[in-house]
Amino acid sequence: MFYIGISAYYHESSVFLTDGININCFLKEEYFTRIKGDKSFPKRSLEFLIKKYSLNEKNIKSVCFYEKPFKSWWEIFIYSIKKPLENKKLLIHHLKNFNTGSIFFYTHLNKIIKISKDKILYSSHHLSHCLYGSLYVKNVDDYAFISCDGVGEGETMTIYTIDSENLIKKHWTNFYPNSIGLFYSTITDFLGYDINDGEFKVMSLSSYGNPIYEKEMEQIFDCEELKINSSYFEFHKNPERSFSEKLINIFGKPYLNLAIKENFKKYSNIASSAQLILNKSVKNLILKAKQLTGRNKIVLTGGVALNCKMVHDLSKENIFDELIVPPSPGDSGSAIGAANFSYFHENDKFLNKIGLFPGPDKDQINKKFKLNEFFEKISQQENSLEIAADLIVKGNILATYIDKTETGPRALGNTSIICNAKDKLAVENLNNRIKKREFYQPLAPILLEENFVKYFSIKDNIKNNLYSMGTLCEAKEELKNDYFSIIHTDNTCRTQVIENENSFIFKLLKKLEKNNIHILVNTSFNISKDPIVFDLIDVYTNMRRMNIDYVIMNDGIFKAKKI
Amino acid sequence: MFLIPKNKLNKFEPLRCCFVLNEFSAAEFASALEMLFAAKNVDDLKLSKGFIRHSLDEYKHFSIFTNIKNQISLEHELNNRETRFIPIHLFAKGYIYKDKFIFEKKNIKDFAIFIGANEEIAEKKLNDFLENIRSFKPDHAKKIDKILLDEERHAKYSLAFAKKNNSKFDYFIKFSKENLLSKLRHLYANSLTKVSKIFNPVLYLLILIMSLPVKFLDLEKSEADNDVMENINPRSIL
Repeated sequence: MFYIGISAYYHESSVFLTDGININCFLKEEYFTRIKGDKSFPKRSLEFLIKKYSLNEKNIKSVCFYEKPFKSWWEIFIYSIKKPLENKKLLIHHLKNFNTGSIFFYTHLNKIIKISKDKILYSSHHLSHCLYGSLYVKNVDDYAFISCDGVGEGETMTIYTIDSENLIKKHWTNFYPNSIGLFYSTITDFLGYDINDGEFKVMSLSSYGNPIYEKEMEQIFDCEELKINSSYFEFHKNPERSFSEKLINIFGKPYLNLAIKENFKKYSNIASSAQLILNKSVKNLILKAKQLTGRNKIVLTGGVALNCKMVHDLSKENIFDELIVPPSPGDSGSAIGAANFSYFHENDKFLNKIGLFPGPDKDQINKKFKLNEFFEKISQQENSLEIAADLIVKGNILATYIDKTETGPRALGNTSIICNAKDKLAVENLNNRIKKREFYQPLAPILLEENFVKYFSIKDNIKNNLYSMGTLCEAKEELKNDYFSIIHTDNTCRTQVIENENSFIFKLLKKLEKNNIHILVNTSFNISKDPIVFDLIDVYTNMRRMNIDYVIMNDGIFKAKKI
Repeated sequence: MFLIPKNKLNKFEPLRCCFVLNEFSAAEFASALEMLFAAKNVDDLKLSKGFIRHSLDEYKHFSIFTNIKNQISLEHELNNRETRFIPIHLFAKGYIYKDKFIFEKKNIKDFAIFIGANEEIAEKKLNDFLENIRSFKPDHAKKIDKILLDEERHAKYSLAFAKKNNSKFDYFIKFSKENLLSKLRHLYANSLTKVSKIFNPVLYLLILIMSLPVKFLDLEKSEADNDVMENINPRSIL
């Protein structure tokens, strides 16, 4: 029997299917529509699963939506309608969108697959985050689970515990609009980036500045009380702009062009100050969780947990014994949390731990594809390692499309673009020409776990996040000599370590040691504004668009043909 | 939808120009996605390859429009938020249907007519735009000229395929229908603002009425819960 979790309508939609034994399949709708951040009902992901697992009413135990649809809509409405004059624009927008949202989840689902109503379950927003996070720790009763994001069902921060008998307690919650997530998104908007997409750019930018606006920011968000000063914001009244004139009076013009030096300096200082407020707030949230639960180990979920600079900065405060951020802490990972909820509802126990790659195997995705019509094989599977190592040494940039797919926004080696991190030209080429990233966004390194201490340092309390790029770490002098092009301006790197000896990247790194190459650059296999590649036609078109010559697949290395 | 200036401009308006370029970028990107979807779902390998080539062209056009827009933005120090391309907005702007790609709605013969007819419409709009910017930005106009050639080729191929696979009468009817539908889509998109002007006050009146009883609602929120799984109703949406 299958359990299905679905997350949709607000952030990138996703579906997770499991039988609770050995079948796990996680999919995002954007894989199929190729629209990054697609939040529409995950119709195509479901159709893929229906076909692949012959799903029907009989073999589906339950389908669980990750939050309470009406509650989510209602909480914002009830908050705004108290001041109908002030919040006019948002209220009209909210009413107009009533019929496009999650309230019609069951209707949308029924168009794809007929399932009786008694098989439909609804979890709760932050509970789904918590239940997702619980799948990444061994002993759940050692941890306090903190969920922190923009808003979900009118809540913005929640602290849970799970005990050894699976009793879940909610210890504290903070309510809309007091949201550190919405605060950070507003700054993202002010600086000219897209909300829900540009936050990581603000994080990178913050390293270039100094927190000279700390005092001003503290007036805007109270880090001690975790409360927002709503006079600086408009997200609660205007769907078109998230900040008010009062914020402009402090920081000056919004949306300035960052290509101009003075603007860059100013905006990096604003970003740096916002990052400091985020760090302080989450620090206080963790202290609160410790005080309420008596637990010193933390699992942090929700979109805010994607801020790996914050994770790194907090590790130095010595306020926890361990901090875990699962690979997809945002709403899309909550589909897995929803499936966990559904599994618990039927079996009175939670799902087993899931790995870093619960997506489908690449071979299953492309069963019908005529590979040789689009790709020329340049090496057999048995020679792949040798040829790949040789190509890397010669300064080539390779794509990987192997094994199973990742869950989170970060490619962990199976669907990546890689090159020699020592090769300055290749790294520059990859960042500027192929990925078209901003100069202030550094590329991430990947290396064997055993080599980590030679080049990097990190506090023990966050080192488990290195497997999923969930944190930054510091560069040692040894790194600066040969690998300076992957070091961020603040001497940090978003490093990933590999421990799985069976993975291709592990073997490749091992092979490259002979050439004195210990670190590769690893970035997701997609072009700017696109989701990560999913099937072989995406691989082909992306290689052509980015001018990447080689791709490593399960059964060899290939070149894209001209068709 | 396309807000292309209809009359000849006497002076160059960079913001408006960037706005139009952004619309063209969005249209090209959406077209690339439609072609990619068709390539993945058509059974004929030759056609699949054709759709991929078309898709790659559209992605290339998207990049050209975006680069021109970025250059003009930088040159004129524009506030570029409104001219930013955000893929998810393709739905709201009507470039991609929320529920289905065109290829899912039409058979291959009708799909070809749809492409051909719409490529021709895009070509006309692009020509109008070129007329407006050629004297102000000749270098950029040259790049757009190349896009026009591609669009002509796409329209030619698609319509040739459609003619081959439809009777003359069917072709004429379907082609006219696509042109009419396209005009209606533009009309609908352009009248949304006007429709809002009528409906928004009605909605607001409704909101004001609803706000009265809400004042008397005293909804308590609980900060904590000692047994979350016991107290949650898994069947409730509230």
